[in-house]
Amino acid sequence: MMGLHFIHLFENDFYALFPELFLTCTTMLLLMFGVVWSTSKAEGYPILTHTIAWLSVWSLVCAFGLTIHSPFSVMVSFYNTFVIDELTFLLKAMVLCSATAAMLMSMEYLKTSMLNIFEYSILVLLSTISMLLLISSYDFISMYLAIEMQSLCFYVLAASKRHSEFSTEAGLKYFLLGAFSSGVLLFGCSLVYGYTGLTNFEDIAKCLAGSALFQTHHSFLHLGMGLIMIGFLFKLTAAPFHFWAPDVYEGSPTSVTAFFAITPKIALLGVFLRLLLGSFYDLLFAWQYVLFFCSICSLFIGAFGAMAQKKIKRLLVYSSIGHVGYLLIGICCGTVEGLQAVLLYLILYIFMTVNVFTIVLSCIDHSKTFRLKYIQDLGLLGQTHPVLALTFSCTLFSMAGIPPLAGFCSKFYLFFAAMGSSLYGLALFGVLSSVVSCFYYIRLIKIMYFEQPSQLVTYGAIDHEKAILLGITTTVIVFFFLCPHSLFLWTYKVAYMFLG
Amino acid sequence: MLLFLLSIIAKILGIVVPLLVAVAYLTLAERKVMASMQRRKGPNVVGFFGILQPLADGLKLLIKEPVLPSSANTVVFLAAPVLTFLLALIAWAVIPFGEGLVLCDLDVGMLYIFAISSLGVYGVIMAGWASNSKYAFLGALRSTAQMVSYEVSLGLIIITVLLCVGSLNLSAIVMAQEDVWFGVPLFPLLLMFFISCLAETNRAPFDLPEAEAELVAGYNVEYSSMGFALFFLGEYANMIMMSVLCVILFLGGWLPPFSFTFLYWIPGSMWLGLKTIIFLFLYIWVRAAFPRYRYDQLMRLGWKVLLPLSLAWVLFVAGILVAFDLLPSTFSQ
Amino acid sequence: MNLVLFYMFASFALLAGIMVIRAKNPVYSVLFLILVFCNVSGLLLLINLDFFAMVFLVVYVGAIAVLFLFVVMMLNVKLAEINDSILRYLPVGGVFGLLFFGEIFLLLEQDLVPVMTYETQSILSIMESITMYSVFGVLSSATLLFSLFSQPWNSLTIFSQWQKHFIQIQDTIANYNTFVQEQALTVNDLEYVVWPYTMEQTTTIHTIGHVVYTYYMVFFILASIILLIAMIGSIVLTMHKGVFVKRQDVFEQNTRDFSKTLRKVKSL
Repeated sequence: MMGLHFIHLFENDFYALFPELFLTCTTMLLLMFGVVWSTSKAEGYPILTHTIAWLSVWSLVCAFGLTIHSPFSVMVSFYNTFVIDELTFLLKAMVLCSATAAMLMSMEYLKTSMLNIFEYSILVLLSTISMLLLISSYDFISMYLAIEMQSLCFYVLAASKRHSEFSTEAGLKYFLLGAFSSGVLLFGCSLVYGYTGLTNFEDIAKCLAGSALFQTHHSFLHLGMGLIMIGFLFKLTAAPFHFWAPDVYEGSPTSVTAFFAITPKIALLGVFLRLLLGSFYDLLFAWQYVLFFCSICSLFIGAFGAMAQKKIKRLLVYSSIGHVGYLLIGICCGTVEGLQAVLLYLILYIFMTVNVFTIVLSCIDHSKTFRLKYIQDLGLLGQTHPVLALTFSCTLFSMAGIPPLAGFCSKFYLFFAAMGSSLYGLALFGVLSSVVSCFYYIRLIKIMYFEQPSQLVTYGAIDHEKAILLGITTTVIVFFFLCPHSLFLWTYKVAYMFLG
Repeated sequence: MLLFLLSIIAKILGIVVPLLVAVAYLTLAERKVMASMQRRKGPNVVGFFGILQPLADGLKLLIKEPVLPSSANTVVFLAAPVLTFLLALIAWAVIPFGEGLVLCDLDVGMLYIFAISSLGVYGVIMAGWASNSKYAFLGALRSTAQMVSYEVSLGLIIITVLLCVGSLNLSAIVMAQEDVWFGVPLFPLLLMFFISCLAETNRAPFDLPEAEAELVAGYNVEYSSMGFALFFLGEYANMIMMSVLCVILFLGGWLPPFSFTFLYWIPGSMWLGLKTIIFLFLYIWVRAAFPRYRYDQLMRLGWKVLLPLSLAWVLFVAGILVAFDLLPSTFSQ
Repeated sequence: MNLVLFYMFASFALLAGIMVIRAKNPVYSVLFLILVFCNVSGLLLLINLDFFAMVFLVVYVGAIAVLFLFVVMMLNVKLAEINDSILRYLPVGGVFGLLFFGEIFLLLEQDLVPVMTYETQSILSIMESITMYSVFGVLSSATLLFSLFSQPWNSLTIFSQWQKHFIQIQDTIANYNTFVQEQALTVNDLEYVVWPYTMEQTTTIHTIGHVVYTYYMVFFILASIILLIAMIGSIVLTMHKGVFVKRQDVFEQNTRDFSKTLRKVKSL
């Protein structure tokens, strides 16, 4: 007993979390490299931002490779606290891809307008690790630790442009409200734990199995679940809890905003799905109302809030709030089709967001001083940069849900799933709000082609990384309708494995 | 019940009264030793060889008028010295003076002492704030920053010793040194621990908080009579406490230096006292011998020298223990 | 004894907690917060979690609250600023307070696991005994005073009578308690193993160590990474590397070669 070599205890478990392990070690190495080299007098205090950014992109790619070549497809590891299955496989691959994309699109931004802090890439890597862990988490404690790790990185990232008051304000706001939402989440977890004595997701699901029959006894469990949901909806920027998002997203440096908008939603949504459709599936009729309400609120605010916005980043935030509303419709269904629609929507949404933010980041003039900030700055982009304008128009049409672009397919499938589980009101509201949101998407296109900007700027050429990203994402958005079956089948498989 | 309470009170008095006497004569010893190092005579008027000097000093402080600064925050101002003195006393509850000679044989004794010593900051910072005086406040800030910084390395050094013992119980720590005192294999740690103790008790050469030249007298400028006396007693009680801790952690507590039978005839508390006196003499010697550090140097020493070193020692000792399978077994079976 | 200590710690913690939010002076608030921490660690001691109690003291009081106090003292917040009406925060705070209240009082009754009835009933009986004591105290002290004033020559008998009544009440409560406990033990026909008796006794630290370093190793590492992130974050946000700042390099100073830095201008 004394000579217990505990490394053998978790021998296989380490393989299960190998990408995370790899990324953690790489991050530590990069951190040490950065700390030692950037302070070395002999090397003349080199600025390592660019080097470390590329190295971290490379390590993300390696981690992606490790993820898709995972030796196990389904496994519960580390004393039932982490899980890998088809869902985590899909979501982890997505997280790694989107983090890579976010890093790639911010290369030029890092060079021109960020402070010379190499820790930016380190923090992005660390938050990616936390998101991977969050997707895998199978226990309240691991979930909470992963969420805290992720949010702590985000607070710092949001405030990373130290000389900008907006950025500092964004960091502080994010910190306060993030801490508040974490507190609510933790309170919910403690209520559930106090009631059931369980922290494991699967155990909770077993404990609640068939409990819908004697619903009245579970008032505090419902309360706990509600608080957990509120915590998550806070972090997902769903509507009644969205008020922090516009300020934070606007104030943070644009590359950070891009990262915030693209990546964390995948991870949070992943664990949210696992909680609701896994652990609390027997309380479906209880949480459905909450999500129903939040979804309608998000759709409403996403559609009407965006109309009043003058700044491009704020507009995109409101648009993302609307998209969260659509995603919630899918979760609301609680069916395999609903889950599939959510996953499909999420994948295509990531493509569209990557595209939009790449465009926003590439709108910089030749002298690298003027950046796109207001919507009006897009004026006459159709003349000055026709390809960019065309790409942007395609993406906006896709976001608005105009057939036959990718956004239409995902929305169509989502409404179909909602009808399938007789959520007619929600489906109707979704269609209506997508009609309303068409207005501001098309307004952007109108500005690009027909309106005069207040000051005429010609935007410079796009660098390689962004060009590649734009190429890939635009191709997917435009030509998705030609062969949607592979993605359909994959998401169906994932959803079926998870719920079926 | 009553008898139980009475016995506890008697035990407490049995610790506290000798402690106070020791504090009184420590001040005399300090003045005498420093005097002889500086070729002076030191106090020699009151009593034979100045033997009654501390009593006279104490009496003087006791009968002086307590001055309350008009803009001071009365409650906190009065509470601060009491707190300091109280904390200096209650740490003694877990100190073993011999085998079984301990007021409360706590399983987490080391942690208890660590917690109490970390609470000691409050007396200082409360005094500095409540005095409503620049000098006092600056002194308090310095002192707090210093104590908090050095506590980290202190903790790491303690962890290293605990790795070799496998228990936080102070008696167990002493008993683990029956074969060899930890001061021998871990001698560098003993040095580091002593330096940290000097900083933790705000003693020279780290007595920045009461640097007379810049800050008059630091956090206790505004205190007079009994308030000052309590701070004074607290500080010296802490010094003795830290010396005893050095002895328990590194010099085998109450154990005699060699395990000859006749050495065991001398009671353990005597050995403990003797070894403590060595450290107390070191305290005074250091004060007489070294000039005061600059504040940034002090901070650098704490964070950039002692902290990495002690961290490295934790890893090193843990590595050695694991590699040679020397880890103390915590379970009987 | 334990009960008395429990109520002492708990009531002090509650009072200090209320004072934290009611104190006008922010420094007082922090000092009361420290009092709350100390009392809570006392509560932890009462349930034999000595390690946690000490760590609580070291971490919260010794480290966090000191920095808190530091910041508050340095900021020098104006006293008048914190004069908001209590009603503004009462709804939200009240709701959260009620939630906690509900959690404690209702959850104990409607537990999913029915084995714990023993625990809940004895707690209820404690509540009842307190009401009994308090009712007895109020009534008896009234009659005691009355009789003392009306017939002072009989005071000795009155006192002895009062004491007898008191002992009666005590006995009743004690009997009731044992009765309830026996009932709780007999009512439950569930066969279950009382694991604490079959276990080997270890100290808290050993137990925590055994769990944290084996099964929950990942949590431990994750927590340490979180701390690392906090460290990176604070360095990123606060450290300004000035190029023109002259720094003391002690190592360089100490290794300077005397013969190289000093040279004679003119040999005599």
